[in-house]
Amino acid sequence: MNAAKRFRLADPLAILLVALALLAIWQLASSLYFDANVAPQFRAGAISGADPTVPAEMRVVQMKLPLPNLVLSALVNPENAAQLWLAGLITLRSAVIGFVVGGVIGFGLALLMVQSRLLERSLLPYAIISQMVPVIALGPIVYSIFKDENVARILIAAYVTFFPVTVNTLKGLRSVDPNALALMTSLAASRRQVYWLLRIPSSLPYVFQALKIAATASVIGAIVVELMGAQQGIGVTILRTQYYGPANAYKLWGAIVVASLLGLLFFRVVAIAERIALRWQPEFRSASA
Amino acid sequence: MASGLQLSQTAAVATGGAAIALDDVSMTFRGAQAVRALERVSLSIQPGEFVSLIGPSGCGKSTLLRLIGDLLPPTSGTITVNGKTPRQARLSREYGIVFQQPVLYEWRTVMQNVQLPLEVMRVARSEQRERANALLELVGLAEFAQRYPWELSGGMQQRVSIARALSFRPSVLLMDEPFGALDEMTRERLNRELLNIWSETQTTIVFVTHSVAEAVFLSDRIVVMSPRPGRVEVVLDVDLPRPRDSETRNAPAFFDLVAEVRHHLREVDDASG
Amino acid sequence: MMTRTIPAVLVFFALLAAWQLGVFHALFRLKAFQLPYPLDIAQALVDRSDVLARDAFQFTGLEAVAGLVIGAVAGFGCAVLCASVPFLRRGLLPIAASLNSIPIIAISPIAVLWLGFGQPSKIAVVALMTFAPMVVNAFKGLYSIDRASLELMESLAASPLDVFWRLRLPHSLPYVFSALKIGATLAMIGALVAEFFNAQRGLGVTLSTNIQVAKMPIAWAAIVVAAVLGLVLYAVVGGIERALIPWHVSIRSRE
Repeated sequence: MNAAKRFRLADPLAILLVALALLAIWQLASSLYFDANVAPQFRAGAISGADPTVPAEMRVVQMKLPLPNLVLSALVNPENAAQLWLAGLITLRSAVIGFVVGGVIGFGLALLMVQSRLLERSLLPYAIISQMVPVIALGPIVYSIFKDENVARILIAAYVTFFPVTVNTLKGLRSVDPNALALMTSLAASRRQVYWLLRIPSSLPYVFQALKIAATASVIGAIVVELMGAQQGIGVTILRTQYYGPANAYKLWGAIVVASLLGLLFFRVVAIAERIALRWQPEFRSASA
Repeated sequence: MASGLQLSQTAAVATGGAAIALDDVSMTFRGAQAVRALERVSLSIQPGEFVSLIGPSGCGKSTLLRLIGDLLPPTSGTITVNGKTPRQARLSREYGIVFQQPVLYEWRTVMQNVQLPLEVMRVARSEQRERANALLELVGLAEFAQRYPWELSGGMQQRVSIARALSFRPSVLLMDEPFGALDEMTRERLNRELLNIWSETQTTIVFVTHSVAEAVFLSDRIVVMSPRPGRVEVVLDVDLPRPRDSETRNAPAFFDLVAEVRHHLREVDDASG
Repeated sequence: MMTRTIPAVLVFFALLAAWQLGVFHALFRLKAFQLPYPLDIAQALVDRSDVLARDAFQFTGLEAVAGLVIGAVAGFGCAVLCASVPFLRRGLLPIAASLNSIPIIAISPIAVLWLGFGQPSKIAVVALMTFAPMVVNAFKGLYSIDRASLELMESLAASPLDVFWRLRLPHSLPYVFSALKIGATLAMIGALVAEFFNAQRGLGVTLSTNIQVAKMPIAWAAIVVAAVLGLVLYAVVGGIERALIPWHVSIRSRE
């Protein structure tokens, strides 16, 4: 039983090595690509992207496969950096608010549904179907209706969170060991107590499963809304830098990196919250995967 | 404050009644086909007695246990527990239940699991702790109080389950093959421990088992049941002296009793064809 | 069993009726041009049925399916690698899994730069999106097999290839289908969004252009078609799953 206490932390060294290897491959590929496609006299111009004498196809080389070191410098360069990270935060803020709203409503609705079969039969099919439907396509519609990009982002993030949370919470609330319920009955526990002491704690693993998926989906949803003409946010940055052309190649890629980091960060935060809420789980046992 | 925790079996004794009385109890499960699980069972169990129910699979012994515990309603007949209906007894928390699976809540520590009934009954925090500690001592798991169920072996988890069932000092303990999932050695050891606990708490115990040796070792009386529809075939007295220990299992009287129970079991089995 | 669905169906029609009668318009103070009425949407569906159908099947649907297949195959291959090479399992798998959390949609402009305005760039985006769920799930299916099953193979002196074909692969199928179902939804989203600005034809194009010129009924019609397409894709994957792995407990016990 000793293995039980061993932390199942991912092996950071191996991850680091593979990440560095991938980065090295990127660096190599982009350098080769650059040298192969851009004649020496145009190289400086191709990097800045602003020199009109550089032939078009050479100018986009850095947009297609930029040198990672230049992307990195765009990220830390004080002029760009503030703009990029700020845009990211704006998107993230809406995503998080929507996520929380959707999660709370979804959880509450599931609690109601578990008490009323009628309610469940009326609404659950929609919750399930909506998970198979490209919900995010509604983003542009929502934006065009409400015209407020914050509201639209929040609504979409809430929407993509709400359904998985409802479905999973319901599953969790229902999947209680019958003997555990019998125990509660034998103790003459009130309905409230059964929920509080048994159903809800045992539903948490399912809820977090849904929350992790929703975390990513919220960020994606928020970005998709922005693609439809918002003023601020990382999706807007990506759109604009793409349109403004090769001069913004590194900014574009920087924005892509920031957008990726948003998703990763949010997911990680939810995963940590899960770890804390479910610290009783034997995830610390030597898992095979 | 002993609110709701008084031993109402004393009340029953005062009125000269049995702790548990079943009168002509029958149980039919409705469904696609009606299943007649129990047929006119009558039984009387005295306060502080240790009674085992034994019989082939499907004889309704678990059903009988659940009827006593108000987890199922009988189709006909009456059941009284400490002079009350099973429902009243359950609502005044007069019995504790132990299943074959430990049924510990995995998100609670061992200590918190033992405290669960006391939480439901809104006992004060400090008293919860006191009792839980005392019971964990009783079952020999005091150092594991802060561990989680999955860190314990099956036998240990079952001991926690017993501690939990006793935490609110019920007058009746219903045990449904509690040691069935354990190996022989652990089982025998837990049998001895159960007898120790029983002698300290003087609870009335109704114990369902498949194991003849276990029934003989533990009980004052053994109720042999026939297969579906379950009937009381015979009730045997176990007059082995107490306290019983591992030596008891070697005594000739022990083997005789085991043989006798086996004989009756074979009879009911043959009779059912 | 049919009576089970009645409440849901009633809700559907109730909502539709409320919508047509202007309940939502009153509630959110909307005009017709912001939120079209169901009948107008139905009209647009009928009027543009041929265009929408072509968009759906020849473009968006095709991109989604092609991307799903490519992403699934690549993801499965990666999973096999991670399951076979311990170092990759520890180092590469977490990175591939983290792709699940990255808004791949952000990459679509780059895909266009590389592969042009046409369908290949959309297929590439979809493939990237469906890659990660497949890696994670297929890996679980290939790798986390109970001790006893593996020991049985050992006792029969089975070669690694045998173990793969006879044990790991069949065991992974339910997980693969689980990933395919997730992927089906992602594929639709990916194809749609990737088409928003950087395509000539497709449901996503129809959607975004009609929003921009405020022709909402057509935009909504496109969404309806996209939703139906998503459901169809999901159902097809489910059908293949039932055909291929009828033995699995989730198929056996039809709730």
